[in-house]
Amino acid sequence: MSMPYQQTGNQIDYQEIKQTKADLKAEVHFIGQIVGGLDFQTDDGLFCELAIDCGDGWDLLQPGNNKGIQTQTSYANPGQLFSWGHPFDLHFSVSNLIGWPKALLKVWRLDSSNKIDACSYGTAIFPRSAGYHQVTCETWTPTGENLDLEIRKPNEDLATNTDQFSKFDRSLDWRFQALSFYMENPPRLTTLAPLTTDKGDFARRKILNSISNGKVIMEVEVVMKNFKRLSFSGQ
Amino acid sequence: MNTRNYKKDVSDQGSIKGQTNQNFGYSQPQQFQDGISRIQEEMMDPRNIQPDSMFVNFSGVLECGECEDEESLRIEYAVKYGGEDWTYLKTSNNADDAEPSGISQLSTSRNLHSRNIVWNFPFECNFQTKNIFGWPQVVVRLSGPDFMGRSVAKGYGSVHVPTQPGYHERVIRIFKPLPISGFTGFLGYLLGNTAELKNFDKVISSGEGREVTRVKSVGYVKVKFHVTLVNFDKFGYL
Repeated sequence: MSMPYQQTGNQIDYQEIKQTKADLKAEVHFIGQIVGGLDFQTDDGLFCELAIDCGDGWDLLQPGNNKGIQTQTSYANPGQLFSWGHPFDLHFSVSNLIGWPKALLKVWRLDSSNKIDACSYGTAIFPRSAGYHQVTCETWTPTGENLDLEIRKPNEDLATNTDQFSKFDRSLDWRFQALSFYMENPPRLTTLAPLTTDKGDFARRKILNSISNGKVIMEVEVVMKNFKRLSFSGQ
Repeated sequence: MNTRNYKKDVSDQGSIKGQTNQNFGYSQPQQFQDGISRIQEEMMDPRNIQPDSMFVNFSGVLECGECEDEESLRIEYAVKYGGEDWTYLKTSNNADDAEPSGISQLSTSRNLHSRNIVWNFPFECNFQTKNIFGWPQVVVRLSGPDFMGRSVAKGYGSVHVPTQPGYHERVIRIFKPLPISGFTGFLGYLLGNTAELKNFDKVISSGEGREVTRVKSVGYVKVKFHVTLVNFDKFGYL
């Protein structure tokens, strides 16, 4: 096995290359853009917010601030793509593979009176293999809380006093649905915890009722460093 | 072994042209004429040299596209890349080759039934880099004549250059900024001041400050990329 030689300028010096610790650390780049939204069936303008959720072993090296992404507001004819076209370039250093990055998406609606309101939510997982991927994330809109005691009972903090409501149809919360019909704004999630898997409040997701909504399309190129050297799959 | 016994006897002076053994019994410095030792051959083998930068060479064609109901369009592109780590390698000393960009011809759709406009506009860029962050993206601007014949912007879009070597096809979704109000839009239509982006390449490639803009989807552009990557395996990628 030959020794690697450092090439400095025109002269070839015979030196040992000191391998630094950074050379053996796994790194991942997610390079791509949020292309747009499809099938949202609305005349209003839509924009998308993206927050990155990853484990403790993932260090976002570049860009320096992780304040998330907010795209432009787009209008579209029925059946057309709401084009956001927002590029992103994420550089992670991986010391622990647990907590592979996820994109928590929230689609907002801008109506004709310039008021914004939540439209739908979704979670997309960044691809785990190198190359070009088209990630489609179906989104859902919450319509209320499920009052079914069988679902809520195991958790004391989730069980509520539901005696005054109809005992025939405990799964539908008519209050929220009536309010959203007259006020034209769906209920919002107070926290993004139901979208992630590794925060403690993910268990609250079981009490939600939701309705399906459109899909968000992202194109991501994944570039991995040292995955093969460390015997991680995907490169 | 490729070494040659270059130590000649004093009696052999005239056999090699221009070579005289002046230093009697004094070992010559290792100046080989045409044979090289195995060590030097190993040192010059590119597989053993640790390079100090990676190279990304790509070329492609902005092939064709559609924009709602437009008949004549030209396409302009600019390649935006991360500032510090990336160096654009120029191929000529022309002033218009300072930054990778170009403007195509004004092309028209073939007949009334199809809105497909063909540019077939080739481009080639070569970059030197030490970091993947700031991977180049191709930002495009479609422009064409309005009802008075003035050239106005009809749409914008962007796409990242593929990160895997080889041939790739991509579709760029084109959007157009909307005017602030109906009146501004109408006045802009008459005067040729439709809603446009100043410095479109910086605005679209970075994504900063776009939260307040309103746009509408208007079409697409098909691009073909051919990518070659150099030294990526030596740095641990690929």
